[in-house]
Amino acid sequence: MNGAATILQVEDVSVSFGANAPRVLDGVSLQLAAGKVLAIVGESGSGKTLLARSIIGLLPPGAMVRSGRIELLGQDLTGLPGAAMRKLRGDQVSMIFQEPQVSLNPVVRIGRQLTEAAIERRVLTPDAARRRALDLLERVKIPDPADVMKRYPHELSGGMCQRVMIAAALMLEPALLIADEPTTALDCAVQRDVLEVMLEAARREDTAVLLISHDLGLVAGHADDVLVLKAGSLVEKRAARDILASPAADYTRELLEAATVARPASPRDVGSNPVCTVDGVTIDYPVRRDWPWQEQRFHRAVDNVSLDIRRGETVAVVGESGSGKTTLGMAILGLVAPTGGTIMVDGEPVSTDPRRTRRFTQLVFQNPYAALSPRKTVRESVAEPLLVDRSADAVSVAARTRAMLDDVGLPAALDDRRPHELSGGQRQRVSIARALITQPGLVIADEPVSALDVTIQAQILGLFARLQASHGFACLFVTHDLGVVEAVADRVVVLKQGRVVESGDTQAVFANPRHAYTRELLTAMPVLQPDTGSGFHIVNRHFGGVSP
Amino acid sequence: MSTYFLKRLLMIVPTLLLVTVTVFVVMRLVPGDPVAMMLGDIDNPELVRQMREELRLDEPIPVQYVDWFRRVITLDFGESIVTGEPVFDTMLSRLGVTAQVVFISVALAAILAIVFGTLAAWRQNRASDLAITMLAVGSMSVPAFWVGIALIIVFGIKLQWLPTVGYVSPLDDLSESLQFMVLPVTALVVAETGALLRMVRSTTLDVLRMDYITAARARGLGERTVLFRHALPNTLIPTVTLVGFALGSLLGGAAVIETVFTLPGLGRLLVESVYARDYVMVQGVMIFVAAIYVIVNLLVDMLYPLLDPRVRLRA
Amino acid sequence: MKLQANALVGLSGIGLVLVVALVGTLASPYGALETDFLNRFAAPSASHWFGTDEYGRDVFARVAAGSFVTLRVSLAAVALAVAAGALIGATSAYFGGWLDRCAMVVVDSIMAFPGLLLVLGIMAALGPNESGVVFALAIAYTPPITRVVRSAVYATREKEYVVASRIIGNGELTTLFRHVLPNCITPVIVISTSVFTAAVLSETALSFLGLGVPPPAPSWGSMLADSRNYLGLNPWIAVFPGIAITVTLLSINLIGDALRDRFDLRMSALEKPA
Repeated sequence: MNGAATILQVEDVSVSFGANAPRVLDGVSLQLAAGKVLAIVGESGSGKTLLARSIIGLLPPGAMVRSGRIELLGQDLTGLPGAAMRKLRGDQVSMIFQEPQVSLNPVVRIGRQLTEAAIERRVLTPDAARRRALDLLERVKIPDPADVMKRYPHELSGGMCQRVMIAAALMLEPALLIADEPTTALDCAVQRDVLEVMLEAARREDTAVLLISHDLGLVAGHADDVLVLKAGSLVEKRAARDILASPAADYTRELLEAATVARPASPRDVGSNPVCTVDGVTIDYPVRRDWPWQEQRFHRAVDNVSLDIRRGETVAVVGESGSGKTTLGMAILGLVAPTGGTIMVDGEPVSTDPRRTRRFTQLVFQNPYAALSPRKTVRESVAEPLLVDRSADAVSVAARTRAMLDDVGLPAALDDRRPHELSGGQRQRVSIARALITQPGLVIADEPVSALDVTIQAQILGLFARLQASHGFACLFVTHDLGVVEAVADRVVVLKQGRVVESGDTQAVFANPRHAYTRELLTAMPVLQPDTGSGFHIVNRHFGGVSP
Repeated sequence: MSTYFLKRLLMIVPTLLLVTVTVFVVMRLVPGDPVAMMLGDIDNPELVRQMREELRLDEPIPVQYVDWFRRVITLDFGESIVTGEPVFDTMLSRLGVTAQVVFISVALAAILAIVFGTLAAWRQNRASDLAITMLAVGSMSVPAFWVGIALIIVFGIKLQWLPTVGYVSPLDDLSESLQFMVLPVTALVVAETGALLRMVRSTTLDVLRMDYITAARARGLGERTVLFRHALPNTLIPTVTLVGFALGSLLGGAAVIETVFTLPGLGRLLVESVYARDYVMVQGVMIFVAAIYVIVNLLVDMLYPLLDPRVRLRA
Repeated sequence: MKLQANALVGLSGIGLVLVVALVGTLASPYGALETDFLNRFAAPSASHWFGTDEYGRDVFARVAAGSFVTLRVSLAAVALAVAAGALIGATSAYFGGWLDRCAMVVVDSIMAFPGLLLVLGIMAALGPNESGVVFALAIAYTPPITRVVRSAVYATREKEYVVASRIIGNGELTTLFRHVLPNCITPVIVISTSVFTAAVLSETALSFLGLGVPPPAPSWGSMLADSRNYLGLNPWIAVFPGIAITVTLLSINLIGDALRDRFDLRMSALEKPA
């Protein structure tokens, strides 16, 4: 880090909610030079966002810096009065946030949100501010910047909004840009673009970047240095290349391993008969009409999709938001009626009131917290499917419930807890136990790990594979995450706007994608692979032309 | 955008139709013979027959309704049983008084609520916030008529600063008219501001927690800009709705305050007609006031696209 | 901390009103209707704590008796409205279709009448009597409660745990009673307290206008109305019933706030688990 001037120096900073509360950020130090990128990596509860917020002086209500120094361009920010801190924001330090669409004011035009700070502080004339804004919008690759300036945030996509946020943050040429999970809320295909656009724009202005993320694999390739946080404490701080090549701390290694693609060792016992056949299924939703006499139009969520799932097999359905992947799962469950085509499950057509089919097919939800009734205990939630049969006797229900909970690794001590008293991983285990207790033949897993921390994701995926081996159910795995697909799926179906663009054996599709969209998805996602030694390296996928 | 306006406009048609049905049904709740009720102790068979004919009480109920409705949509609400004056003319002449008191009161209450509600939210949990919130709960806990009586005792009787009862039209004598307005307007402002203020405060608190406010601060904007150019436009959207409700409901529900200060407004007219068993007048006022309420809310709906660009899309 | 203070002040306020009510009706030597023409307009004193009115009736006894009238009418109206609103709102939201549409047509047509207008209309038709007031207030307050219950059920119906209940094979009614309704109770409690304050306000306003519980039954509103002729010399006739109304409303408002904060806290604890 020698050579360039030091922009930011954080020394032994601690943060807590209230003067006597435990420290949620405990004695963290870091240093950042002009034009450099420092990634701060940690899972939820690591204190990474609080660290960022304490630098820009926007801690949430109640949180306070307890000790330490934060020096920006040689000036100590701790204890700086509000008005003085306000002068530094935007001008010396600026920030972009995770959710671009809610970070822009819905009732204010883009142009004003970009220029108002410069004009209010008389740094630029309105004309100059406008020119600077147009210039920045162009630099973050927004087509037709003059038009975008006139628009409102809801008229732009998430990726576009985040580009606008980047431009707004760079308006006053800050020395430091803090980016808090800037691409997490975006679709996969644009994540890498937005990240690269941001870093490129910052580099041109010689702005230092503090890049905060949960995804070590994503940021390690773009940062100069990486700092790993866990539960408020510093775990490891190294040059990005070194941290991949030779992670020193166990936790760092755990994070890296969770991000690598590792297929479960146990070969699956795949049967030859399909438990589920989807044949030419089309699902239309009526579009809201303005007037009753207008012609009813439909939105085609799923368009002529066919696939089959064999006993014991995992088929992944991959697509971005709006691709129809969740709707397809709902149709197999009989919760949505297809407009055309047939769905056979366990040898019978699915109807929308099919108690039997539903018992055969179960669902694991994306957000286990929302999927569990807030008033029911763990035991009640898991036992409930057994109680639907009124003939079930209490002793055997209790025994089977306990056995199932053992199977998903939940100790008896948690039996009487309610969902808000559990961790995210524990909740997803409850949700899985509830889905499996009736021994279903087919499980639809709808993004079952995307709401979880990366190390928990790895644990849950491991658990899922083990349960599948012992219970022998087939699985339709709905996800947007290609890394997960590679880890769990025997076969993969790629959906785009309701249509199947590609399907086949997972390894074959990943090695040799035929459709341009699949290639786009795969190149957008850098892969972390273990070295022959103890380290890791990043592999960026590249594909040539269309193979025969 | 024009679809939005047109839809809103069309949607009030069924509502107004339902209003007439409801009023008609309520008026049929009168136990026994309405004519006998109206005439009370007067025993005059000829008069009874004449009134039954006038009110068409001998026709089947649906026929009565259709007949009555046909007159109502031409603004013919019949004549008052007591004075013989056309109901619609009487209502129009009383509307001015009510409108004067209510518009001034609601405007003042809205301004106070927006200014102090925003301030309280901005100073959340500080002394100024606690004081404002306590005053607001106090305001919600005093009925307007009780404030009115207290004001009469203090300013009218003890201090003798202001006239307590009566009304002078501003067209006749503006300054005297305003003097008569002071106490009723104060009573309404005291009683109405609290609920509005609390809504403004809680909405502002929600808005201040939004990411775009943090993002505005992160760009280095001053607190005044953040509060007035970023938070306020977003709080105004629900606030305007509630102000519309208050305006509409007071235009019809100022009966109590008009009774305290003996103002010849619409509310007082309704109460007097109830006392006098003037059912023709009562049903006229009910429809008239409900129509005003519905139309005020329609106008508020028409404001939304100006306040919130997202509504323009949704249509 | 602040929560508990709110609830404490609110509960003690209601307690105070009830104590006055009990002392005034059971322990007072005067009846609420007992006139004493020798003692008209007596100022507050040891024998008449709140003084006497134009008929020499003891204002303390009348305020006490009035509290029973106001609380009884308001409670009965709110109970009826909550029962009807919960039933209509829950069934129409859960089953939807034409049932929902019909219910909403009725709700909208009642809500098109602002404030007291519909209640005044009904009272005009029925004439002043206690059950009429209860009936009229219940009709006026059923629609807002219906709306709240309906939107709560709508929102809950879409929750994933309700979908989960269907997937594990529960029938519609089981799902409704076991998973939907128990999670809709909070908004119902919150709206009930605010409707309760509205009912107290309306009851006093109706009796102030002479359209509530008919005289000579004592009620806070009619006492205030009667006092208007004697404000110059005997303002206490107006002051004590006014204070009674304010203490009652303030208490319910504070209790309502405490309940809302408590549920909001719990809701946010549920939304953002530790």
